Amino acid sequence: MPSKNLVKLSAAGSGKTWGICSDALSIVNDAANKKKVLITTYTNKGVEAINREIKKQNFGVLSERIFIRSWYQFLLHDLIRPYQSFVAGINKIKSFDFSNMYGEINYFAKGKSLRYINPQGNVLANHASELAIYLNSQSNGMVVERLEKIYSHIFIDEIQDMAGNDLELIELLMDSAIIITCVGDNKQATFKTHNTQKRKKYAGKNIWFFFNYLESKGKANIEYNLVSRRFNQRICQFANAIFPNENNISTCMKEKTEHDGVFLILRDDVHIYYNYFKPVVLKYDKKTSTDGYSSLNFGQCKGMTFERVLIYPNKTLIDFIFGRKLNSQQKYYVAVTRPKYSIAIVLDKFPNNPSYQTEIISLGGTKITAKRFIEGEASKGD
Amino acid sequence: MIISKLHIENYKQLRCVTFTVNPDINIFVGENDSGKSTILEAISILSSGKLNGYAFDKQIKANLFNIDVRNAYKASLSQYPNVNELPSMIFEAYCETDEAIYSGTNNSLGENCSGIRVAVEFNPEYTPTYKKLLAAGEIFDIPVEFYTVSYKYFNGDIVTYRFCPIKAVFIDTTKNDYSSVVGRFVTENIATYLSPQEQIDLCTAYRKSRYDFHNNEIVKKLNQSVKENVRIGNRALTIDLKEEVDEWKKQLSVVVDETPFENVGFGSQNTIKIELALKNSTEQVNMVLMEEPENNLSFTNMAKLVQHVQNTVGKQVFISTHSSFISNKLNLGNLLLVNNGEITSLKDLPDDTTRYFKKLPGYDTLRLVLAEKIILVEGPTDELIVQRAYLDMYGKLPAADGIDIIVVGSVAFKRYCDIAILLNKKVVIITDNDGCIKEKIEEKYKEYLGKDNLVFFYEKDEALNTIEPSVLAANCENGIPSEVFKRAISINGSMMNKSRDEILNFMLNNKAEWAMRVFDSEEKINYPEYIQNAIKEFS
Repeated sequence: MPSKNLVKLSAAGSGKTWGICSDALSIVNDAANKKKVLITTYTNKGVEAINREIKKQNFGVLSERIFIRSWYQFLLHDLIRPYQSFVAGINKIKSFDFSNMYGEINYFAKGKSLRYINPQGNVLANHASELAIYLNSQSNGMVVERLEKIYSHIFIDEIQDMAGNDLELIELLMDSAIIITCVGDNKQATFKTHNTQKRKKYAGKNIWFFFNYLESKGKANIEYNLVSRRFNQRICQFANAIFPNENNISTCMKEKTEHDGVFLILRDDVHIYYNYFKPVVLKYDKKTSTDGYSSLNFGQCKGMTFERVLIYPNKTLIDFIFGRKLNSQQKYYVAVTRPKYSIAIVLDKFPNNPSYQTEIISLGGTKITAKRFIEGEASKGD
Repeated sequence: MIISKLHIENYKQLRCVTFTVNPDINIFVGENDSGKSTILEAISILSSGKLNGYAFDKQIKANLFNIDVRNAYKASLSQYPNVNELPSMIFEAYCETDEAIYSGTNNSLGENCSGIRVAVEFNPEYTPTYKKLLAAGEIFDIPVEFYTVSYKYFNGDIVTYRFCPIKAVFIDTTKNDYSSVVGRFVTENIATYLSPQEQIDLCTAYRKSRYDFHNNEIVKKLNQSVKENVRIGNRALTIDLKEEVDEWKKQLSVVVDETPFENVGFGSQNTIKIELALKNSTEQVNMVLMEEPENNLSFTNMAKLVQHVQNTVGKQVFISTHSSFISNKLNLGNLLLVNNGEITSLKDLPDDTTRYFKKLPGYDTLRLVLAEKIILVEGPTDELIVQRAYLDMYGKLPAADGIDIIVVGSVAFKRYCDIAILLNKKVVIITDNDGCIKEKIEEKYKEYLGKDNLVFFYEKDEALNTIEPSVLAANCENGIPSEVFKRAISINGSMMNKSRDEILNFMLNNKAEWAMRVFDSEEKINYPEYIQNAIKEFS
């Protein structure tokens, strides 16, 4: 049975943000619809990206009828605060306490104020969605009822980042009159919203089980868009090599430049390579040195698009290049799906790996020796 | 957004009140100091964040707190460490709106609806300081310096009044501050009164005149000479008009029939303000607060004002008034009686009674509403006799005991009774028997006779059909009027030699006159039993 709700699973760079924004704008431009549209996404960076995209599609300004909020803002602002009196009293809640995101076991029983709110009046972030669900049941559904009055549609971006009670809450919203559209990339789950035993099997890449469950119950339809528009075929191939699963992606980006694909370069050549291509430097985390180049962590660059990137690999990524299997692929996948044209990975020595072929790169007047990722090239062509 | 209910705690006379208000017109009536202005202030605080035109949070003083609560707190200071909890002032407007965005349960009644809550509360960050001062015995009153004011919607969001769905205008005709009113009126209120398009047009026109100024030959010449002669650190100086966004507003003044606004009479100023506020589209102003609009208004202007208020659509109006005219004309059902910080609505009056008073705006309904004790009489004769009877009995006039004698005429008795029943106010009714107690009293007032708070007094002897024969009878012995009575109603002995019938004739033909003579007389006459009983009812 077709459902009003939709889960859209898309490849990196397939235009998720663009799609959400254009859908949201056409909804609010429909004069018959008097209600508002909410777009929520996990990170603040994601909120910025959506803000930018809306402006791009809406004459340079935001719409007064599209609310863009981070997931936590949404929880606090739209669900918890209006009905906080059912657990905390009138206007007691200030903000969030993010200090116990992972690990800590909460010994306070369900329904006890201190389970959700610290003595300073801040909601424990890892219990925020649980609190929202609790308030809804305590108030006999006032929380969801209020949302139904305000919003006709809610778009949830980066659905793959949701875990535990977030998923429970999303299911609750799907059962309401509001039309819910979830958009995400199952390959991209870089971190969980919070640590909780509940629905752990859905966390991270296994969020598939959650989607299958929704579909089997008729709560949502699932749609796939595994064709990227961001990067070329070589980068796409490399991304599939990093994160091989049943949802391999393809690309329709055909643009060519003088330097396309995935390359390994030696540390001695970084300076000249960097000065010539001016790539964005990425690293796994702050523990990796980048020889003094200013850089972004893999986790930080979600949702962003660059022309070219230069990656300083950690040990795990080096091992992968030397032929070992990669576990917990998500963060690497995010990093390699950012650039449109090229990836260069900095190494101290080249691997002896048939997937990479020696090639001379010309940087203006200078030539350097590099290795190019060639896997799948023969069968598919460039 | 329209206010449907108000809840106020600890503000001035309002200890803790919750009352519903009408979506269109609300008239607060009450004695001086009963709290009706306080209610308007509370609505102003809720709807604009302002008290008397200035930010409320900058004006928090201990004397804004309810006096009982404040005194109780102060008294408890001597019981240290058993000090009372610090009081909070709470203002809540429960609203009706399609916008669910402002809804939630962050309100004292726990209702799930839209609304605004203003709370003046102790800021717990100061707990350590407060405790220290308490221990040292250095707290003598509510320590308002440790208080914060929060303005929030019921969903917990902070209210930004610029974007608040309630846009209120406060018209205070009691303030006599001509000059500042005009300045503020123009700069602040033009923005509220004009539509956005009109504002843009004005702004553009102002800009154009600025441009013209800049390009004026004289200015050009002046600038040239300044440029050549005055130099500061090698930088050129020129003269120009200011270019702030709102600069044009400061340049405007309102002119009424060629007289500048500041020079027209105060009454006209108020009329203009009120008309502007009421005429505007609901997007600009959807709530109007008026404090005693009758001030400085002639009767004609007041009638016009009432007309304006009546014709206003889509605005919620709150008026405090002492004027019976205004309250009658604007429908008694819209009346909210304020008494010692308690509010009673007259909404539940029978429709025909409301209509009746609307038609007769001269009737002093407010006297009935406001007086502590009331005696209703049929005419001025009865009034004078009752007054004098009271004076003779107690040595003072009834007004001195808070008793108001209202002349209503027999037709209106029932209507007044309706109001008295609603207000549960004790009313003594003195009426003629008109020669038939069964028909003129028992049947006429059958719905009212059993009520606890309504007491009817009338002559039991049907032969004495009005007050004249009744009073005369009380002053006759064996059918002959007493000398005392004759003296009382005589001028220069004019009645001394008249017969009983002649005296009765004189009384019936000169109703007010004989009563006036009795009232002014040095003699004390006898009063009919029913009048004596009526007067004793309040002793």
